[in-house]
Formats: sequence, structure tokens, C-alpha cells
Amino acid sequence: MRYDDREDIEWTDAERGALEALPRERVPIVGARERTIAGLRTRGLLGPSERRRPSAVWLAVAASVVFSAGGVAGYRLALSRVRHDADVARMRIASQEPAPAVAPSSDAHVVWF
Amino acid sequence: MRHRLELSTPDAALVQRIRADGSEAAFEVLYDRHTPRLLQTAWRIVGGAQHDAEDAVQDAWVRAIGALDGWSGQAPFGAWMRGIVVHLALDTLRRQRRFAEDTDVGVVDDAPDDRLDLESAIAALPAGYRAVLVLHDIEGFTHDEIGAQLGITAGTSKGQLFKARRAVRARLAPEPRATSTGSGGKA
Repeated sequence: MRYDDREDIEWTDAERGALEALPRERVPIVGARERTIAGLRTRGLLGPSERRRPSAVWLAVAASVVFSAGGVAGYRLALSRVRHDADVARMRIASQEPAPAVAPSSDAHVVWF
Repeated sequence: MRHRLELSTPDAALVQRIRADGSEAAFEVLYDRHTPRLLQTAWRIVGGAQHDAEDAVQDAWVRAIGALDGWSGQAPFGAWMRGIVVHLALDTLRRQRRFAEDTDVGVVDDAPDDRLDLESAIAALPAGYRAVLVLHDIEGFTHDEIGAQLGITAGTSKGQLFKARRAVRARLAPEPRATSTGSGGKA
């Protein structure tokens, strides 16, 4: 049967409404965009990544935080060593002091023959 | 802040930035704006094969960004992209030899009692008829445009649309068999 020999089929209002109600969009799978970007970059169609490159300001802030934290830690370490050395010296001094003299007992004599 | 501003940037300006310096940020906005629609179109044409649809959309973006000069700016960017996606989705069907435009789709005896939803009925069509129906009745292509995409005449496109609509209608509401009525059938 040729097309010209028959009547056309038109959708009813309900059928047309059902067609128009079909979803027009579909969510891509996770990672699809990154895969596409990688493919474009491989072909030289996109420039280098912009978003993942940290700015100089953020690098400076991060460096100063690390430097400050290092300074505080070093100061605490040094302080604890000074205290430790002071304690050790104090113990040494205490150990070098002469023992207190023991008074001889006068009523505890042992006589050997 | 720049990224947020680009969310409302017109397609033409985004394309200009990609042309100028290959801006990834501009591409991301363009991608997020158009991909869901492109993916749905590809998904319908390939009959619901998600992987094939994703591949067609990715290939379409690569092809489009590599040939941005081919977009004149007169037609909407989304429509231009949709043309590329449709072409690649049809290529997928051809590679898989699923594109058989002469297949008769007027027969519903293989599943006479099934009542399918519209999406399933469209997906169940042979690839060639499905493509014409999706492009004409859902995507709004003209028969001339469909003919150019499929390499057929506008008349053939109309004929395929007729068969596709008839098949979808039959699948959605199959008529009761004459033998089941016991009335001897219609005169």
C-alpha cells in the first residue's frame, strides 16, 4: 500500500497530550561531563583546567597557615625542652647534696667477744 | 563568582569564549544547559539504550566543539546540537544494523493483549519508524528535515510516520479479537 492511497493518521487530543507530556530531559550519568571534557582536552579543543587551579592568593594563605603552625609547634617543643632540662638539673643538684648526718644512738651497743 | 555569572550567559557568548581560549568554564555551562535535552532525544532514537545514548551525546559534543564555526548563530544552539545528536544516534543504529526502514510495523499479533505505556510503545517500534516518529511528533522536525537526516524523501518520511503512528496506537489500545466476541466478526 502506498502512502498516497490511504488516509493520514492524526493523533487524538488525548494522544497528543500524552506525547507532549513525555519527559523532554534526561539526567546524564555521573561523570559524563568530566569524560566529555577529558575527550575534548585530549583533542586540544579545550584549554587547561581553570577551576581546579588554586590562585596565588590561596597558595599564599595556605603557606602562611603552615608556617604559623610550624612556628607554634617549634616554640612549644623548645619550651618543653627547656623545662625538661631545668627539671633534670634540679634533680642533679638535689642528688649531689650531702645526706643528713645520722645521730649515733647511745643505747644500742653490740659488744663482740 | 565568574562561574555563577556564566549560568545566565547566552549561548553565543559561551561559544565565543570557547572559540577564543577553549574556556572549560564556558563549556561546562553550555554542557549543563543542553545535555539533558540532547540525551533524552538520543535515548529515544536508540530505543532506550542508555549507553548508546550517552556515547552519542559525548561524540556530538566533541564534534560540535571541534566545528563551532559551523554554527551560524542564526538558529538556536540547542537545535543545532540536536541535529548533530540525531545524526550520531542514527549512525549508532546503522552500525548495529537496527535501522530497517522497510520493516512492517502494522502487525501487533506478537503481543495482542499487551497494553503498553506510550514510551514503551515508541521504544518497541523498529528503529527507522521510531526515528521518524520521534523526530516529527516529539522533536518537531519537518518531513524535509527528517528526509535530509535519514537520506529518504519527504514522502517516505510521511509514509513511515503513518505506519509508526498506527503501530503505536495499536500497541496502546489493541482491539479485541473478532474470534473472542463470538458474533462472527464484522461484515
